[in-house]
Amino acid sequence: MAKKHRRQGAQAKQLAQQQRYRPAQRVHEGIVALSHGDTEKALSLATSALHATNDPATSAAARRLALETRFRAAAAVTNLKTRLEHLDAALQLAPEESRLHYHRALTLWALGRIPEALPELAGLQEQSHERPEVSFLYQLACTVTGQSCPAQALPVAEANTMQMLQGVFQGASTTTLQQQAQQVTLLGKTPTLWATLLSMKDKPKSAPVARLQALADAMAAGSAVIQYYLGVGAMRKGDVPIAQSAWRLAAEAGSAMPWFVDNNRQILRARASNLGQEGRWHDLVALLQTQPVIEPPDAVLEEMLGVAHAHLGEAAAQANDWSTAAQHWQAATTHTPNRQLFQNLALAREALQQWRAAAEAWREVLRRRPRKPHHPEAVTDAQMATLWRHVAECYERVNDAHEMLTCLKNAVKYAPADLELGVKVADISSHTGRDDAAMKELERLLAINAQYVPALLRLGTLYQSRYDRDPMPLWRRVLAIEPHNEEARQALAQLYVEKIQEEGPRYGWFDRFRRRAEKEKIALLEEGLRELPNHPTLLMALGELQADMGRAKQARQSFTQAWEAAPQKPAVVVEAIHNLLHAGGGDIVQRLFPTVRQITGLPAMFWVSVGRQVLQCELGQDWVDLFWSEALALAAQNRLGESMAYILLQLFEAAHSEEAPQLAARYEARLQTEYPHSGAVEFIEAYHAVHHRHDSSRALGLLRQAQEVARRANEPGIATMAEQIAALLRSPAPPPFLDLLAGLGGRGKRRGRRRVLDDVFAELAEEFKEEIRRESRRHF
Amino acid sequence: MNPDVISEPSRDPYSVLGLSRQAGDEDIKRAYFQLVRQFSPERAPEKFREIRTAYEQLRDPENRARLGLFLVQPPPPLPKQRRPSYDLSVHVEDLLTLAMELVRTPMQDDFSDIT
Repeated sequence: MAKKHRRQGAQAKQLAQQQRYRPAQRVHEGIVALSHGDTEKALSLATSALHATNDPATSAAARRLALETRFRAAAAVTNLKTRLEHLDAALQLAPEESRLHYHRALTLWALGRIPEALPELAGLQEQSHERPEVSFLYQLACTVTGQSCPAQALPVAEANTMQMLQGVFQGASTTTLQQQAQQVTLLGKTPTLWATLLSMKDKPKSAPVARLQALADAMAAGSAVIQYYLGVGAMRKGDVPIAQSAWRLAAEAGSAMPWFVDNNRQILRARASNLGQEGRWHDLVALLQTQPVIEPPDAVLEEMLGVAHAHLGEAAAQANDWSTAAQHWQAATTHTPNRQLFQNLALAREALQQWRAAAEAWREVLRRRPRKPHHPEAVTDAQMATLWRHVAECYERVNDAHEMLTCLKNAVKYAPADLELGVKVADISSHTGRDDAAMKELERLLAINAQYVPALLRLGTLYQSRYDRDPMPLWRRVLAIEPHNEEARQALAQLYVEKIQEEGPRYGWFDRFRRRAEKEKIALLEEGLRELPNHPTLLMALGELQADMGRAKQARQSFTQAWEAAPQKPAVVVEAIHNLLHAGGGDIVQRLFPTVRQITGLPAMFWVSVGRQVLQCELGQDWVDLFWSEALALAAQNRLGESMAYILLQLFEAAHSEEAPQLAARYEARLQTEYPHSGAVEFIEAYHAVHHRHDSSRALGLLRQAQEVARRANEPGIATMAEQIAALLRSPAPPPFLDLLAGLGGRGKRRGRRRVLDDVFAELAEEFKEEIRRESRRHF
Repeated sequence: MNPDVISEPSRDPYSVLGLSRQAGDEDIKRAYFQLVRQFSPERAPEKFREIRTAYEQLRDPENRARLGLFLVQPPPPLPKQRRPSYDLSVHVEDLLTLAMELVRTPMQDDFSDIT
């Protein structure tokens, strides 16, 4: 039942979602948005509905909505140019709509573009019964533009006003006009309106502020003109605050005349400058940010805003408030983008650990640096390199190797002889797969300083992977400078070993030539040992070769020498023990055994591995017991995060995978008795689920439990083991490409030219299978 | 945090020595010796260490220039202002616009009902 309800609920939700995006639904939502004043949302919904619908009714509704939204958006803005844009867009949707033409005409008029308004008014003349004022406006526009138009009867006030304005336009005496204005009925409810303005026109010092304030207050709708001249009157009296307030209102009412824009700018500059000099930076920002947008932006005001934000940023930085500092400096750079501000912004971003943003800001600093060499703020080559390195470090923090490389290369251009820098470039190039570029850089560095060991080492490593380059001379060069350089010694030794492992041709029944090849190998290793005396890698390889040749005693000597050459290196010791046991050198192992205990920080897992190898090679249970007892002894000390439970579990797993069930059972029993709440019991159950019952699903559940129990018991090692095995069980099976390889190799078909390919694929397939077997055994 | 970055004003070596960013070698040396006399290692060891560190950072011109790359820069000055010159005359175009304002229908009156 519950399931049915859930299904129904999901279906209803899906249906609602589908409905939501239907065009008609969008139109409905748009209408709702518009009724709440959200013109942006309404327009978006209307436009998308218009594009999505084929239905005529919905299309018409969407069009009406879009039109109305545009119109209301035009009404909402104070910027006249933006208003015009909205009206033009609306006219695209409804070219014949008269209200759009009407308000377009008025907007052009307010912008001082009366000649452009004239055709609109001419077109509206025919509909003047709807808007009686159109006749007046049309006739006035004709007068202003010098066009002739048929005179139409106007109401008294309009006719008188027309006459007065024509007189003003024709340059009649303002004193006369003023007198006339006081005697006849004019537009505007207040009789003194026109007389006041004409008086101000006539007398430059006239400042009837109180009258203008009363006139402004009496206007039902805000008048940009009255507010502007209120401001003019106030300025004539020297009353800056009233002027500023009035001009702000004029701006909000949409005044855009050039003299107003210029006056407004000047007053704002003066006011902002005063605030800045008083150090009132917050007030300065508030003053300029709450003003209506000035078009085009005033460069001086922008600069002042930038300075104000710069000061506020500095204050925040001094208070260690880097977030606020960054905000202010970011704002400052949008108003006055200069190098110093970007530098501050970069420092703030670093303080906030916003490394990528910091890097971008530093790059702006670099872009804006003075280019002329004698400029007082010129940046030297060394400083350029320092800055580019710094930018690279920022990218390093976010692991962006590509950008880091770009920046380091730029740094190298300014500091080409900086070897450390060059090596870093090579490292990053190599890290991003550009080995050729890395080699080129290292070779360049070595041309500067042939003895620079870090470059030699890296170049040697790169040459190792190239068939056409021989790294040996490079390792020898390093050893000539630093005879004890471990990396070079090891690499050179390894090269000798690789040489002897190179496959020679198969001689078939020419077996005696095979023996000579082995002599050559020994000679090669001895040559290596002359060059690198007592190197454990070479000694080990020599011992293995000797063992292959049946020279067990010599082999034991070589292995022992290798061990004694590096008794503190676990990797060498484990190999020596293994090889010695194979070569019958158990007594040597016994003798040198105490030295292993002296290796500092030896983990218990070392002994687990050693014992596992012995088990795998069936070299004797006694040895396994000895080594694994050592592991448990170390585990008892609970160092390095290796608890007893963890090591016992590792021993169980090793014994089981090396097919020693009785041994495995021993450790399993110990875990169940001594550490039942460590997570190991669940782990082992999971193990059995996979191996004996092939039930991966149950195993995964048990592994989850094992993780939880292990975490509760503070057994991170066991928890990690369980997590890793679970991941393995969940991963997909390897692809069956072995069969594909076999098919390509033409196995079973006629041999001949394909023999080598056959053999290669066969070897690859065998190796891969063996690897899979080993991995499976190792992990589970 | 990058060790090159010096954010707190107390660690700005110029502030520590009471110098402007334009200070030269002589100014730096003079300021250092004056402060060290005032804050000797015996009387004010912490302050002395701070002064000494600041001096070490600034005494070498190359080091000083490099340090400048990672110091918070002071704000730029306000732009110089000319005395404002306002146009306080009455323009004919404004009278025409006023006439338009007095007769026009406000846009809000022309909103359509689209419900």
